[in-house]
Amino acid sequence: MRWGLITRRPAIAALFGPFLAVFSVWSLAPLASRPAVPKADADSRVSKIFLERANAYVKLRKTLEATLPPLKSTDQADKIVEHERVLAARIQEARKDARRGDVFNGDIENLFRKRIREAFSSRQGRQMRRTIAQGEPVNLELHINQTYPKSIPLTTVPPTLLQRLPKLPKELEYRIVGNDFVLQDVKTLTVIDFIPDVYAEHPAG
Amino acid sequence: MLRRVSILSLVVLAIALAAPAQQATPPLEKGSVRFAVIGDSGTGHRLQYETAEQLERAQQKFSFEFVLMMGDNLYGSKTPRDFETKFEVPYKPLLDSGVKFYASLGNHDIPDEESYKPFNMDGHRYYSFKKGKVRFFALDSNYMDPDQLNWLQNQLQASTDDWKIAFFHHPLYSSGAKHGSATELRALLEPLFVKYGVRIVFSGHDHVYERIQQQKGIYYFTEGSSGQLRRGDARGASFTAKAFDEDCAFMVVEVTSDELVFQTISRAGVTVDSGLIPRSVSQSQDTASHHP
Repeated sequence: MRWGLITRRPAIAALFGPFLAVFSVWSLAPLASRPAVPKADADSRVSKIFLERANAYVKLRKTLEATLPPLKSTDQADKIVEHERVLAARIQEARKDARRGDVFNGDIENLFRKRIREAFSSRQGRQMRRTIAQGEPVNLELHINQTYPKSIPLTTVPPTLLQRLPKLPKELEYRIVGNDFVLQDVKTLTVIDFIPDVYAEHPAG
Repeated sequence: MLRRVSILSLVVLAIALAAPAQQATPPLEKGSVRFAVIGDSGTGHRLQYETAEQLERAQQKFSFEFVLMMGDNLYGSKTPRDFETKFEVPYKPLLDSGVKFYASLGNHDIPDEESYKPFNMDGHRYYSFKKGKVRFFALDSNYMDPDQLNWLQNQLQASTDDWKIAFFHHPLYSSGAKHGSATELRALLEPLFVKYGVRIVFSGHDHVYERIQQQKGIYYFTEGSSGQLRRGDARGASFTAKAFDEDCAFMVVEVTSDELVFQTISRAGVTVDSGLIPRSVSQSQDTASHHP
């Protein structure tokens, strides 16, 4: 039973029950159906949820990496390559049920689409598109948990876009791949999640 | 009268062009900081190897102690074998003689390279280091997030060094037809460079050599032709002081207390550009001499 703990303690339930019930309904309801909250507060709440998910990934990653011999600066390239290969495989195994939208779901995806749209519509929009074009953009069909191929260039992310997005833990980064907006593991280049067709909404000009 | 002036101008121009160019050679001063600059080198192909041979010859002559890498240190696949064929083998004579390499990351690189000891990045995608009176700032221009910008500002602010030199992959000024100037990045970085007295900036990305006329007290160089060449790509722009896109190239640089002397050498061993840059902005004028 959902409120079993409280129903076994009637006095506490009587005291806090109504508050908890309201809080529970509020926290589980889609953001859109909640009572009007100032826009900035709503955005910051969604950002917070996004960062909680990003941090949950980082925690998993650290746990998995702790099972490997630590990677120190080395002149043996094979050690570096092998470390990242094994770590990527363990991440993929641990996240084998991951699906697109696990991180960028409803409200979070909407927030990112909005921020990206605002950035590309701003005065810097033209320069941002130029930055992407100069970075040798690639077209690639993305899949969750795939490792971004190391043989093709990493796309250049417009710095003014990065200034408008939630700050990530150092283990993660944003990329734009083709028309998709990607959340990626910095070292293993594992695709954690992506939002499709974001850049397609912002053609040059 | 006008016709006489025009003829006179042409005569003066002809004399100027015919005059032997003055070559600025590094003075090899005791206690100076000597280094080389290579960019977009890691192809593993003939052009890289031949340019590396010329770099080795230059090291024997100028005794530079380290090399700055402008990114795209490893093109294509990144297997352990690629680290050998695209870096360790072509630069083996330099590595064996104790020359250090300091890498920045290009769009063809992967962050793993920061753990590769011979690149001296010490586990960081951006970092700074000091040599004599010079402080170098290696940036990751592929991902210029607010953290990196804050780090750069703090590092620049804290530096009391005589010379501040930044290097990274994407050129803030370039007449390269393939890529050109990274104007968005310029809007963020140049104000910091001006405010904190960065005097010299090296970049790559466009596979040519280009020297830019002084911009707000800063001299910019693009050296992206140490393993790749995009012949005819340097279109020249109003800000271009010298461009060379006929062959691969690299730079040798010497920094003394008061001046920086550079020489740009082609794969064939020809000096294609050289010059001297004073430390003080107030004394500054474009004194570099040109070679055809």
